[in-house]
Amino acid sequence: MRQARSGQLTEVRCRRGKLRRLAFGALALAEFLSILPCGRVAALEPQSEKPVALRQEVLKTWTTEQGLPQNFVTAITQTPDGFLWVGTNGGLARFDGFRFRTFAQDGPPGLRHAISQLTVDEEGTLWIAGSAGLFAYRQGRFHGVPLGRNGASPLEGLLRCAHEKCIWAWTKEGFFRVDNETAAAVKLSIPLATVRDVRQDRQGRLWIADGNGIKVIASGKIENVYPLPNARLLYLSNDGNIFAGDGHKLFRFERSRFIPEPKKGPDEFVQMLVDREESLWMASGGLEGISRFEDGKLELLGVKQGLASNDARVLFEDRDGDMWIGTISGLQRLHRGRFRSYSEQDGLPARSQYDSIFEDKFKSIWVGTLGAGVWHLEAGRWHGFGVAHGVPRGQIRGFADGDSGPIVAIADYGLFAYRNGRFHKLAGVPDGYISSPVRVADGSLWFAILHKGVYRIYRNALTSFGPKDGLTDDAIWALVPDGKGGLWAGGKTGAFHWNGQRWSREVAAPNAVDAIAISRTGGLLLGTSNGLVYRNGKTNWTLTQEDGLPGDAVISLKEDVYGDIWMSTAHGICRIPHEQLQALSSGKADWVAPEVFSEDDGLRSRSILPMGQVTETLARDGRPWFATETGPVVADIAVQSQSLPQAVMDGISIDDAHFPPGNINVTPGRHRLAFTFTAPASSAPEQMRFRYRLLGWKSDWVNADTVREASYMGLAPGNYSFQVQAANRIGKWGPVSEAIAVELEPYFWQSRWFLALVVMVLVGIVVEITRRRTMQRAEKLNLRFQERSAERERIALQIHDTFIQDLTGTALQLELVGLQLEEDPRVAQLSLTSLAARMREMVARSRDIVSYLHSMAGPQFSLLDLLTYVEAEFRLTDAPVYKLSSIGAARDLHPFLRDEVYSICREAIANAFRHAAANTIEVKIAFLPRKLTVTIVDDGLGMSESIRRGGRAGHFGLSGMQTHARRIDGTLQLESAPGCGTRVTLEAPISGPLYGRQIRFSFLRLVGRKDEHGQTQIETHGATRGPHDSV
Amino acid sequence: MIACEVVETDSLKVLIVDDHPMVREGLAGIFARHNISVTGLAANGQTAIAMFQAERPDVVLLDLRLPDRSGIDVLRALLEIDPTTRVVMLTSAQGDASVYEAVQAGACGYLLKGIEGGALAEQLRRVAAGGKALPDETTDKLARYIGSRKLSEREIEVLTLISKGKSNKEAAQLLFVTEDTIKMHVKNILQKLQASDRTQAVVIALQRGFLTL
Repeated sequence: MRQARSGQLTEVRCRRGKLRRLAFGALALAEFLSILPCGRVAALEPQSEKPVALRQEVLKTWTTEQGLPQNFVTAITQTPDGFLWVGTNGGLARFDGFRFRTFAQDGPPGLRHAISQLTVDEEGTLWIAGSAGLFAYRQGRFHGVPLGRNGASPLEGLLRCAHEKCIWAWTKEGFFRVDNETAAAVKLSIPLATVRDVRQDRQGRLWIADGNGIKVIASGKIENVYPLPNARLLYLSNDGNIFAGDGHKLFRFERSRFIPEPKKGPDEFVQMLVDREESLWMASGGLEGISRFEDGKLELLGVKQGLASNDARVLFEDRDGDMWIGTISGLQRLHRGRFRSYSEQDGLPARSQYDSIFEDKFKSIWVGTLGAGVWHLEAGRWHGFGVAHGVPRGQIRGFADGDSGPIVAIADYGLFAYRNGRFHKLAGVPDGYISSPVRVADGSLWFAILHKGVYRIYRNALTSFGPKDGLTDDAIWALVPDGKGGLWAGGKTGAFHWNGQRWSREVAAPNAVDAIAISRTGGLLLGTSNGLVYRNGKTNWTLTQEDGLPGDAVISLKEDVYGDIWMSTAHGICRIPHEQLQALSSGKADWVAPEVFSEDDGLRSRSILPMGQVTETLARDGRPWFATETGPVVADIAVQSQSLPQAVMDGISIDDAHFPPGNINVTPGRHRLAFTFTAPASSAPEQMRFRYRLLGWKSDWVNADTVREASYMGLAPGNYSFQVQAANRIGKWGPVSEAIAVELEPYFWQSRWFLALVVMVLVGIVVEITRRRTMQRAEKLNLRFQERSAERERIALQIHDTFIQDLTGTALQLELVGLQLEEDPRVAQLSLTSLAARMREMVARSRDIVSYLHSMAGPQFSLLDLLTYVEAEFRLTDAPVYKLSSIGAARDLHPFLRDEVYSICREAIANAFRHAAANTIEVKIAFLPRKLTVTIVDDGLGMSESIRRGGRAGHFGLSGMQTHARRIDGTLQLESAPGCGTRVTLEAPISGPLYGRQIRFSFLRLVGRKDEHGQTQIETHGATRGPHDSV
Repeated sequence: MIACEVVETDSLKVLIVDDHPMVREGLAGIFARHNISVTGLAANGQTAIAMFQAERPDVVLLDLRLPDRSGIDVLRALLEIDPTTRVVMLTSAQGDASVYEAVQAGACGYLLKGIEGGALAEQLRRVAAGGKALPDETTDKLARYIGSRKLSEREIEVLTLISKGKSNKEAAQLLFVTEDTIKMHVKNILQKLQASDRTQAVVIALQRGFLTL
């Protein structure tokens, strides 16, 4: 991003000028203290006031290798959503900073052909002119716009209308005003064949260059003609200047004429642009690449400086201030990075390895190399000190301030102090791998030597510190003053502190401490080989790669005046913003999203050598310097606006079919649904993270990390809504994308109405079953009630017929005896004897009745027993002969079956006794292998049709008998006619599901397990069989 | 109701119809001592009718329950033979309806078993003299029965079917009417008997003697 003097910063809270200088002064005094007049200082003054040179800007190139449809770039523009559109000779592409998206699959075929012009109108519609005609792109869809009657003639130009929602488009045949996909021809009173370029000024006048001059047309009439031979280029700058060019010379319109400008670009140019900083840019379109004219200085950028081709034809300044260059060999971008990398072009030695960096007390920067001496930055150029200046060929591991210049620590050589243009070896320094020289406030110089300990030179006296002084670690990599006269040392077992008297281990760390910084919060920051550790007594935390660091090993670290941490890890340089550290300390977060810097930010190399040397320093102007492997870099710590990315849908695919983003209906069935999405980003697009959710399926966000696709399989039919959100490189989430509504249509059997129908049918079935059950139960209850009533009535009548009659008779007899006593006591005596005998009979009969009543309840009685009782029950006279016989081996019947059969037979026999006036009643029981047959035959009066159907009053009769028969799956037949007797035949299965179930159930209960075959084992089950009945 | 004519006679001729031999014999013995000649002892309806035709007794003492047919049937048969026949029902059945039915059918008296022999003889004389043998107990029952809301023939038919466990639909088919008609009848039955459901209606009807099972 080009940081601006135009004041675009979003987080600037201090006014520029006085306050900033005050802040700067305070900073210089208190180095690390945060007594700043307000929370955040805007940009600290850069070391050099000069603008960043063109060649210092980060030039990035994209070609077909990165997905550009074709290398010949013909047009560049940007839509309001942030996407960059690139027209090439091989079609149109949309660029989100990460990937070129072509529309080969889901756009009109014309977009694959050569594109000549691109423009965006007031409403944000993209207009595309190409060999295939004019297209408009809005809301994710392309529309072809026919021009004129024969839209065959190629488009010559495209221009956005000033102040109006329309565009101008022209061919050799016509000039059109295109509004909402309708093209209206505009009559211009000039021949269109010669029109080279058109612009519209703020007053709405059209300026037309036709090769001879510039014609100004207002309201369709030529207002003015300015002769300018060969004029073929027109440009209106934002400040209202009108420029014209003939390919070699530039003219500016001033006071009703075009006057030539002094040379401000290459000798030839095909396009020009005035950027927001009022610099004039030109594209040579041939030999000289591009140029920038700024503050009276002309800079050229050609192939030698990295331009893809000197034939650059298109220039476009995007909304972030980056300059896009379209060449015939690729698309390029100039971006002002956060980092300034120094290289050979700044005077540094080529192909050297850089190890250490330092700012001396005179605020100038020193850098140390491996074997190529030390280098000093002076007035923007680097100057070296090598063997000739007393610097041996060794690894420069660190610097410290000396009396008249820096003191350099060189591995295995010792310390060398600068004096009068040369370096001189300090005497008395032990040999070894020397690290981290540092001078503290009292003037003493400290350094560490691997496996030997820490040394101090104070007033020319060398003191060594080791275990005897509390320094139990012999591998000290870092020495940092604590700001209170003491010193911190980082070793392989933790951090040690020197309080002026003794060393003590303050922080034990399981990993080597390579870097130490004192935070302005008062805590101690340790860079260890396994993460960043923070200790301040109350809050402690550790961050590793798992928590968001780009790497586990922290090589160097510094905290800037804003409280941001600038550190290097094995995987590069990064910045952890202050807010994230605060969140961490307050427990609101347990991870960080550092800004990880890359080549896009101006780094030539991300690599920093991890050998315990001093690779990072915080200059007194507040900027962190790093010694990267390929050279020193310095970062701009000014707050940069980190715009929030707006995630957008890119496309939807259902199985193999692709659709542009938009609400979508999916046909029934199992499909793979994939959503692709992206977000335009100008910097670090590869660090952008996404999350998405499919409402209707899950309302939680799913982290996609850097993946830009989400797919779903086997979603249930229904309505869904897909949303996506993108976070920038420091983990701040942008707005949620517009939701995409997805309707998965159901098969008819998955639809709601079908479900409702099924539910209704099921409910209907349940209701019907319940109704039938209830009816059956009601019928059963009725039958039972009826049986009980009949039984009670029968008992009542029996009591009436026997006990009451007996008692009545007895009473009468006794009364008679009373009378007889008066007449003749002997007769009375005889009567009494006879009465006593009769009463004994009565007792016997009553006992029979009672015993019969008992018998009804007992299961021990067989069917034959019960039917024998029936005779006794109904016999009144001697008249009918009752014969009961049985064929086949009598069997124990299931009590239920027995009772039912008995009820039916009893009724039939009762009928015969009561109503038939028969001579014989014959009951035959046949025990067949699988069924039971009972036949009751009488030779009595028989029944009429009406009695057979309706039954006789006072009896549950035939219908009752039929009901009983149904309950045992039996059949009942009645044959009878008046005068011909009656035959009742009952057939009932003995074994069947009705009894099997019950018997098996009891069997299972007895045995306690299921039999292997799942078959009933009634036959072998003893409980169901008993001794045979005897007839 | 058939009027009972006065017959002047010294010795009253009585036919005793009862299925229980001790009752028959006991009554016969007692009547003999009250100057009542027993012309016959019948154990069932058939014998009773035959004896009646042969003997033409002044009064028939008839039990309601007989082994072959009901006492009412026999009563009707006797009155058919001779409409002037005086029949006194002697029974232990106490249903309101049976009292009503007997009186309706033309019985001259309705006496409950357990009555003293002498009193019974007295009542028979009274009947023979053209009087009625309706003790207070019986008159009360009669009055109550007449006073109560009686079920119509059709309703009794419906109730009978219901008591046999028929549904409305089945009852409608058997009686050749619509189901709605049956419903209406059932509604009326429930109202008249002040029953809350069909089962209760059947129970009440049985108690009152509208229904016999």
